[in-house]
Amino acid sequence: MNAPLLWVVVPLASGLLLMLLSSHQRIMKLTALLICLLLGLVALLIPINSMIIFGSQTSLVFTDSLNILGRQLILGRNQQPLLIFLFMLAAFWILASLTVRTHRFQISVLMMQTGLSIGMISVRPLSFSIYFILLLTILPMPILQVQRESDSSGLMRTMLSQILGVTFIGVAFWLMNAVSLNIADTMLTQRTILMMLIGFIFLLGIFPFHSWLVMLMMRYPSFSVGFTVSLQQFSVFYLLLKILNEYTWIRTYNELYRGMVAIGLVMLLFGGLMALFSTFPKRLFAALVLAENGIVLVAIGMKSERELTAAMTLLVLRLLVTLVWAYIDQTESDAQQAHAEALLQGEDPPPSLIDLSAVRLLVYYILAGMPLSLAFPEKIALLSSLSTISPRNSFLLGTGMLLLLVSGVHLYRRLLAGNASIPTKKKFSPGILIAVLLLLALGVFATFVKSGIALLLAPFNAILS
Amino acid sequence: MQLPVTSLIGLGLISLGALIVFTQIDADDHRFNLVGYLLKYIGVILLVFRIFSIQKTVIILLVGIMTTVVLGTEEFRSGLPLQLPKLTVNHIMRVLISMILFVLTFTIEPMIARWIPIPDSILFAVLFLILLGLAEFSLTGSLLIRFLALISILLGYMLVMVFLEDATLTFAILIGTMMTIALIGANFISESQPAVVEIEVNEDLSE
Repeated sequence: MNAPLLWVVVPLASGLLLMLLSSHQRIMKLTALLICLLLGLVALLIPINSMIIFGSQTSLVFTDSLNILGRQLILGRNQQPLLIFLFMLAAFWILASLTVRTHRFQISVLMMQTGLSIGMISVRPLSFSIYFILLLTILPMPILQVQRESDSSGLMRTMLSQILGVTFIGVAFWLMNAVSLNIADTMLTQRTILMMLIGFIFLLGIFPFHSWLVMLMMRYPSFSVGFTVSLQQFSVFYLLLKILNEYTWIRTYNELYRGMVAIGLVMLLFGGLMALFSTFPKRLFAALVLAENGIVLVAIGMKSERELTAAMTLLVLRLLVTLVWAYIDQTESDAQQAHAEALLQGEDPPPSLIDLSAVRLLVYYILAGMPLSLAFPEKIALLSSLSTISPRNSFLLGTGMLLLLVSGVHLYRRLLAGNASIPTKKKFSPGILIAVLLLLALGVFATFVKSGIALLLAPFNAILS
Repeated sequence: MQLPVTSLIGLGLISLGALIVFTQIDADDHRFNLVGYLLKYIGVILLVFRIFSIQKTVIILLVGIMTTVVLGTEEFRSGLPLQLPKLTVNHIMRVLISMILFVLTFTIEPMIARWIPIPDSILFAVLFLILLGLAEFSLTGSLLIRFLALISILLGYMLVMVFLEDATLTFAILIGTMMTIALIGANFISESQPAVVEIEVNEDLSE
């Protein structure tokens, strides 16, 4: 028995097997939920590289590695908090899917994506991580194609960006090994860093190669695309941290950090401006995601423990906020669809859903950084730290954050406009209330959350030191 | 530099294949594009069969044939005879663009060869495949051409990585990814086509 088999192979295999249950959606979702909870519980209770004793005679050694064709999947004890988090996240998505309409294969794909994300974390050598990210992103494409709201260009652009990102980072990984042998070759070092940065620009959707991310988030149902986008972005940032942790020469290459801060600021300002002119909630959220990528890049580029914690906090918060946002979107869309279907069949329409603009506004500001939210202290601390290093950059960072806050006015206008339809009986989704309260609770119990974030950062001890 | 005849023919076939796909990107009948795509693979085989093991060479050829079949089944279903397209100004312009890209690849190849140590002929083929793939992808909305372009870009990347790392697993992963993309492409193409209702003629009615 070993850890990668349990946390990589089992989710992948169960995802495939659950496809057989696709005609029994409820059973499939409950089984997937049970598997995720079980895997999360094992990650919580059984330390890797320990002996499990059954009764008095039988024992099982729970090893940390699995060899596949000369490559290894390795999971350490310090990665167990991340495993718990990822399986809990998957469990929350599955739980939410119980109350909304989903594609019949969506939960199976979600399970496989979770397995692939853990594969990305565990694979050695590091260069293989990018293939896991590529597979993770292209796996749900057929599902999204069926649910498209217009043409397929969003998916096509996504695939092209991922392939180009993999191409550049793949070659950069080979060059990195060459640089490790001869650090004095500055030309080679610069080219390697450049190749890597271009690769990350494609994978993270950094301006001017951001259109795939916006199109993906706007043209496809949020609940179908939310998990893929948030997990892909999290995985890419995790890969970036792994690269910084693994290669000493990159970690000590100051120009890279300056580059990350500069790219991050451009991204934040671009995302902020895009948000300012976005009147549709989906576009506004896509702009927020782009801008948040910028903030996280700035935080990583500041090269200190405090800012790295802020980056991880924002990444984790974004994963949770995307779930709630997608859930709100899908609940609204389902209610509208049920209403239209009932009218079409000449039946009495079901009670319509209450206007969720206020909830959207709240969720938007939880990530954008309103007081009492988890993001607020992190962003203020980031601003304060940057102001001591570079007042000009700090001003740009502050401007970008302000743009994001001001952009919420579009959601506020929707709230004030209200629902123009004829007043009918309204209902409220308790799931949304619980989800939003949980998000707010993260800000209230920030100290507790921070201790969890510190555990997620434990594998990056080289950067932290 | 003296290139073996097979490598020269390989380079010629890759260029010809890419040219056929590129000039025919807006054609109604995509069978020429599929032939061009297959020519690229045959060119790659001729280029690498002296260097790669026989197994890898055969696998590349098989992947080329399989992706063509998977993506192009709908195109061959019609059974209409293949007709040579009429030469238009668009075709001439595209030939000119591909020639510019050909020269551009020739110009940048020596610079890149200084830090990516793979044979010049292979590097040229890789760069040409990637550049033409990008051009094909960006100049058309046709799903078939776009998927062929994506797979061509991945083929270029695979050739580089197999040379650099010499790892069977990398080769296997990339081959698997190319096949996955071909399957996704077939799914996209069939999804985007309007459903055809086949009406069966009831012969009993005539009696």
